[in-house]
Amino acid sequence: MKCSSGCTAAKVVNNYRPHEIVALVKAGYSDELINSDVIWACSVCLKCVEYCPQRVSPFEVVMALRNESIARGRVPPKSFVEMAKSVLKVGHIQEPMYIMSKDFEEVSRTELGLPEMPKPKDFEKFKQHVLLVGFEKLKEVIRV
Amino acid sequence: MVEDEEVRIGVYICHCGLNIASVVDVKKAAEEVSKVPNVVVAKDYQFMCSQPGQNIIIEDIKQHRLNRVVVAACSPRMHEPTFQKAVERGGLNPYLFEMANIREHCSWVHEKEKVAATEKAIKLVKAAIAKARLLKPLKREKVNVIPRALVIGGGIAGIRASLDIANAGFEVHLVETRPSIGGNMARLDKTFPTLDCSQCILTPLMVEVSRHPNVTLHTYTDVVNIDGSVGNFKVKLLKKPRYVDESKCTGCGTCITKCPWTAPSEFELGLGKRKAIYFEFPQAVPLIPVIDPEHCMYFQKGTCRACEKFCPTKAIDFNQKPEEIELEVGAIILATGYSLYDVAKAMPEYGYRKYKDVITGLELERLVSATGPTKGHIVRPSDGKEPKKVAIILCVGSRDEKHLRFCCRFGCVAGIKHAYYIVSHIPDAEVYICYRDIRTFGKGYEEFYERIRNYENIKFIRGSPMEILQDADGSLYFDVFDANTNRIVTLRPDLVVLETGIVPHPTFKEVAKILKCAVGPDGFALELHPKLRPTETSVDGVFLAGAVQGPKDIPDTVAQAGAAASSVIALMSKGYVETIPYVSSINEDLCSGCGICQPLCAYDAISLVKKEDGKQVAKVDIGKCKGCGVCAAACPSGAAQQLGFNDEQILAMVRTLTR
Amino acid sequence: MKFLLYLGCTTATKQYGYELSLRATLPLLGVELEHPKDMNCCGVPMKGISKFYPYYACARIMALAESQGLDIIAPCNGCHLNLTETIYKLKLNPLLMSAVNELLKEEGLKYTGKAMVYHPVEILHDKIGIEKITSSIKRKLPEIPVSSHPGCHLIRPTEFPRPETRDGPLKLDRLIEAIGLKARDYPEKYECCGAAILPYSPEAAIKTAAFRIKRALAVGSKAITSLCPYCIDMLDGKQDAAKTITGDQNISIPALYYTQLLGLALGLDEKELGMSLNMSPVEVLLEEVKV
Repeated sequence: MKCSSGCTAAKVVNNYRPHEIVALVKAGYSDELINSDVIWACSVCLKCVEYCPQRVSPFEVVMALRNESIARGRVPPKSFVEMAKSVLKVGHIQEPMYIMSKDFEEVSRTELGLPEMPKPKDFEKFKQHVLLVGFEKLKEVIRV
Repeated sequence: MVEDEEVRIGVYICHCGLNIASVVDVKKAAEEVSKVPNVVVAKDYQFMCSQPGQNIIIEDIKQHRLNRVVVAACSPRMHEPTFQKAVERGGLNPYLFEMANIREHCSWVHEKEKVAATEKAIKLVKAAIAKARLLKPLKREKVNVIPRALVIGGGIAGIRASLDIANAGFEVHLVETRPSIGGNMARLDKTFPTLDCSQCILTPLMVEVSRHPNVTLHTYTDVVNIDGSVGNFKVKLLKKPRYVDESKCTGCGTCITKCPWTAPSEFELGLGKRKAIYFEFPQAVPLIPVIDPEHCMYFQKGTCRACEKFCPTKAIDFNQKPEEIELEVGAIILATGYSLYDVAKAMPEYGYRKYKDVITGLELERLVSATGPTKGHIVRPSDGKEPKKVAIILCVGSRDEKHLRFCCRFGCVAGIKHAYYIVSHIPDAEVYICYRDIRTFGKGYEEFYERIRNYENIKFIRGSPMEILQDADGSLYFDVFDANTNRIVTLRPDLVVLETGIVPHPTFKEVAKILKCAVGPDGFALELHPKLRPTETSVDGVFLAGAVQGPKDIPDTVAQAGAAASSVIALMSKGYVETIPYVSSINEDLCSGCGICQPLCAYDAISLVKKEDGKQVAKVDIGKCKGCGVCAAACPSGAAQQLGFNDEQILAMVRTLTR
Repeated sequence: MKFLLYLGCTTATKQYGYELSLRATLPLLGVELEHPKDMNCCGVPMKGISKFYPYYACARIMALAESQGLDIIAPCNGCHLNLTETIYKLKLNPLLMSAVNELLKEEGLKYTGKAMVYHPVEILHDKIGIEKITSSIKRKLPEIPVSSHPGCHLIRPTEFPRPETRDGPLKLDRLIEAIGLKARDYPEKYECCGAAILPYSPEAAIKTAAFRIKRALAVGSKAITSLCPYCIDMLDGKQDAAKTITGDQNISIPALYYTQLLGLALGLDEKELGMSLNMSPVEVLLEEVKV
């Protein structure tokens, strides 16, 4: 239970306990987890991977549960949906934003003199591949 | 056994209960091999190793005039000696026996392929028959055992084993690398579960062993070489210079009082200081000081000599040199004990050595000891204040796939005892024991745990922290998930005690290299059999006592020391051993004297000699030869042959298997 | 030294201060940066959606670098780890390698495993070197205590080679001292900024960042610095939110990219370094640095 002692998310998300997730999977309760949002709380700090005395990697278990939940057509928390949508739209998890500077100016890449953010060249092919490597199910879920 | 006598072989297929018979069709195997030329009788039986099983062989030898016996059963490591003895009782030379391993090599590994397993078993038996045809009688030699033992390591294991051997009337040489015997047990304040004073039960034994007429103590001495084999080991010791003449010193300690120089004390694990001339600890045996040249001003700068000036018996001798001691012994006991796992290096996340108030359990023992650096007051190393909140963390490095996979077997009860130390010294202190499982398997341990659990101010937290951190004000804090309450608890202890895992003492690695004795994957000495021969090593005549074989508490250590001693006593009372006959032999007519074999021999058993006709040939010292067969494999002319495993015999097996 | 600057999403879409300061400082130290014409997300935040996407995404990025004959600078810890992991996993798994290349082939790309990936901390510390930095700076900054926050993926997992060691000491700290500042340890230095909890619970994520800021303040640090856009996004950009959520009004400390500090030492203008885009009170630090 070193994982739950040191887990970043466990300290701020009350019902997130990596050891418990691993134990539930081992005991055959994966479905409970797959149907719950809690598996999306992991902060990907990888401390559990590093310090688990049994070489279990709760992080990998959580990622597998997330993948499985997507494969079963469950909708992940909204922000993940937004990011995935954006990947399928522009190839990135979000598009360049206008940022408010300290002088209360709204600035963009262009105004800052930064070059344009590149997109995948053959976008249709890229999108097709992204769908192929695991976003297919998500397509139905988020209707893109 | 005459050379051209007709070969008559008896073959016996063992069921090993269902171990073999549930996979291999033993009836079919027996029937198949009965058709092989020279096989006079082939039978299967439920337990060949049982008395009735052995009797079948003995009866058949007589009835069928057998002159070779093949048993297909388990590994020869398990029962070869059993069957050799049966064959001998039947009137044959015990080496006219061959074993086929159809359990480990067949039924256990081919559980799901019964038909193929049966075929394989038949092949293995046929190969053994092929070899059996070519077997020749071999002879065992008797070697006298020198009635003197060497015990390496002067902790409780070495002391107990030495006393047992000495009390049986045999001579013992006890070697200890530190200036005093006593080992790790001398560092402990109390022993669990009875809480009796460690020194009180240990020091009488230390004194007894040092005064025993049959025991010669070699403290501050290292083993540098061991040659020979069971019965006749030649041992070379190196006695490090104490710079104090042991024959003159009375142990008055004046030199220590007068010495102006200090250094961190090894015995106190760096928690306290000692002088440049020092006793290992106040109850040291022998009570003779040692000068540490690294911290002595005379050795460093050529001045001072205070100890010399004030010594009433003129015992200081700055000119002492390392002294080589040679011994001949018949048997050896390894009792080199353990060291703590290097948590500072391997687990920096716990901050040991980085934060002063993170200490090991062994260090806490010194803080509690009346003769320790704080005279028995538990204080924090950082500021000397009494800790009011103490966290004890179990399994630090132990039972961890990334560190030590095994259980240290005393950390739990030691941790519980350490909690008791804290509350008995500081009644208003709070103690938190962070544990994964509490293992209290020893006699009286569970009752002790029960007793300590009743203290209101000792709390058990089921969970281990991932890291220990230090706040801006220097205080320690960590989070630990407690499975009992399903809460993450933040602790801010004044003192953290790590119950660290243990590893073999570094001297064992050296000695194991010299002796070429088997070492397990965990670094501890590998016993010959984990259940049935736990005190023997892979080297005949070398025995194990205590933590050298694996983590042990004091009762188990003392018990094993007694067992090792009784093995030594048995060897010496009998007075002789029989050598293994599977040694290498050189056909001098074929040997070209090329010398390839000589440097390959790991046991230094081969020398090159000139014959009367001037021809150079290799010669094997059968006392040293362990029958490994390396020379036979390397010999380009086939002159070197291992008796009982010669080329002709092995090739006959290969031919049968590949037919 | 010429590299392909693979910015990753967070730097390129909002952490402009990082990009500006990288583009302003590295060329002064002899590092030429090539801007890619075709790029995609590395897949770090998408691991939960599909474990295969990151392999394809990263192999694609490296194939693009290979087509230009360049190695990559990945200024984001997440991208750097994901790219490194892909290099290792594909090297060990020829099946995965060929599956990924099947897809890339259709896009006219090929990943061979030749392209190397560097994090700015490696470029600065290992490639450019402390000596060159010390000799290149226009002025030493005053000995102000500054805490480094390496960020999880710079130090973990030990399964793959990481730019920094899990247990310290840090190259980032040596870089801080190279420009005159004082590196100040704080207890939760090796902990997570909480960024990846944002999509699940912004409040939980911001609480996590607040812990780190409070610890750095407690040891008397005058600033927090990092070379990860996620960490700075949290430690710099979420201070106001942290005040609201925790009710602790003392959460206020300049948090900025090391390349911004380095730029100041190289004599660059704060505007060029994008320091008006930092949300934390960097002006407090600027005052002290100017003296």
